[in-house]
Amino acid sequence: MHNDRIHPGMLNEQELIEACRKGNRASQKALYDRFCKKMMVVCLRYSKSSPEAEDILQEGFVKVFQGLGGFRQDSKLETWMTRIMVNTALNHHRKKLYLHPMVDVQDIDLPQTEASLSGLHFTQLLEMIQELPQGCQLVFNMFAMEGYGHKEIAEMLGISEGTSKSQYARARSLLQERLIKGSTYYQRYGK
Amino acid sequence: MENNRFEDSFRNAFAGAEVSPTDAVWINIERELEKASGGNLKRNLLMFQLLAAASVAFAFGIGGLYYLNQPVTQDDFRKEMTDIQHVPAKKETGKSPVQKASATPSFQKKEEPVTGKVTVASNHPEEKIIQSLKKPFEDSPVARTISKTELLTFTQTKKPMLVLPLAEQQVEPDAGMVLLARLKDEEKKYQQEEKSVGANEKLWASVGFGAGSYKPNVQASSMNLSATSMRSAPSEAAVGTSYSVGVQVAGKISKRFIVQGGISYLTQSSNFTSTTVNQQHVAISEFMRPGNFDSYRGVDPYRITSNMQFVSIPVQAGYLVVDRAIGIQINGGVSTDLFLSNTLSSDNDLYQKVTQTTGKESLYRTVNVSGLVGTEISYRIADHYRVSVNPGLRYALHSIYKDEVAADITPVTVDVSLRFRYIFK
Repeated sequence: MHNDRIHPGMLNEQELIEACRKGNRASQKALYDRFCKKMMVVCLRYSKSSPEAEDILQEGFVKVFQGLGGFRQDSKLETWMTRIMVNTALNHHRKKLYLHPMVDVQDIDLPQTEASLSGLHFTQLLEMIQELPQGCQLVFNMFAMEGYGHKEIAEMLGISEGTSKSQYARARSLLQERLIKGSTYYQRYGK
Repeated sequence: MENNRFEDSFRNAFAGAEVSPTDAVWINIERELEKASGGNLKRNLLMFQLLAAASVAFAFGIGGLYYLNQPVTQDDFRKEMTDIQHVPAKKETGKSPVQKASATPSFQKKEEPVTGKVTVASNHPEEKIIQSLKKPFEDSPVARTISKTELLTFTQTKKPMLVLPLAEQQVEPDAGMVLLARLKDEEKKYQQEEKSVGANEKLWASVGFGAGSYKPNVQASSMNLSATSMRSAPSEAAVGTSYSVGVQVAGKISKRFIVQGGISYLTQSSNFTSTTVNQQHVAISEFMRPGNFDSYRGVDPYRITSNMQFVSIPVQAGYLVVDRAIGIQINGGVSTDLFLSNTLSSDNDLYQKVTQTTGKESLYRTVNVSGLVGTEISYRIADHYRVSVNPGLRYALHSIYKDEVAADITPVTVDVSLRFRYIFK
């Protein structure tokens, strides 16, 4: 009752969760406003374009609100929401993966030098990730960014552990290549 | 180490990164939430429930009015006449006249005439006996002559309503017999009139369909559930929908009592959140898991739709509160519900749907028993036809899960059905 008089944006996370569980639309909007920008970045990492990312974000948030009743709060809300966004994104990609299954990548040329990310804005890195082949993009995100192990990735994507490892190696190689090219470009011509 | 550095630097680069989505995203989310929460469905369900409640209230209201307007029986009338005529003749009895009257319920002898006045509303539009009896007998210590000016009233509200064509005149002690005779005639006339409508209907069959709200009523019933298995809170199981279609046959076993039975197909669906699938990515409701937790794994919450199907064989007894062109009937009984299947499907493509049927491996009992309570408000539309609206409640008398399942599910359904009745005779 007391919370009804407070603007939902002023509620702490716990209060916001409780209000959202009761289906309070204003609180749901407040929760969305609080996390949508961060979740949009997650969705962008798993998509090729902004409209695609927004589709995932929309579907993901609907699942968040519907599943909030089952959120046990043994992890941070942001972490839980990120997992839902990732699962939603994987779901989006699942059909494509069925049509173009991931396979082991045999010959990977690892760059000799380690590329540096210093001085790069996340949007530049985002662009590089989005340009990766779809399988590499998924595995890279799941392994490097979300911290899943290859076994888990294999289970979640329905591929072998070896395929997950080789896809990751290829993603890493492609990214390093891009990073080195970029740094050489900057060294030669400046920003 | 080098690998970790690469990943860490990526993660760090994205730490705190934010990108604003367009406003259209929230608008679409809001629309989806409205759709998912079944705004329309909920309104419809509320309407069903209100209609059911209103119908029951209406049935009882009409039933009550009807009861109050029942025809006066000869016994009732005799008693009332006795009350009037039992006036004590002497003061010295010690007992109050009222006590005496109730102690010896018989007509007064001729030699002890009661003088008095019966005021008759001869021109009353509604046929009511209105007699005056204002002061109670105990006011008078002696056998009392009712004065001309004194109005003694008792009001007869029950049917048949009678007009006594009597002007002011003295009533002899046996005048009650005259009244009784008239009353008899009126009662006969009334009963004949009543018989001509609903009383002639003895046997009928009806076909109908129903819709309403359905609550699974799921409860964890055993300590076998592990902590992880409790993640999908049973209380989350939302109110769903129930649809039925079926046929019934009913017959009167007495003037007011009815026995009816039939067969119907019943489907009940509800939505709830689950956090479990089995290793084959099959959607599964967490509280349904029969025991082998290793074969299941936790996933992020997703919505499950459960669709259960039964063949129901109801047997009910009914009481006809009103049996005229409009019929009002109160029903109660049991239903044997034969479980056919339950299909669980998820809201995404990640998890396959699963259908459980009967058998040893099934979590469900094949034969279930439910209690039924309801009313039936019918209207005679032609000689052999009636339509009826039946608000009712169905409550499972035991869990439809087998004993070994670590949860109970006792569904409750509130529905309204529409039936078309064909009257054989």
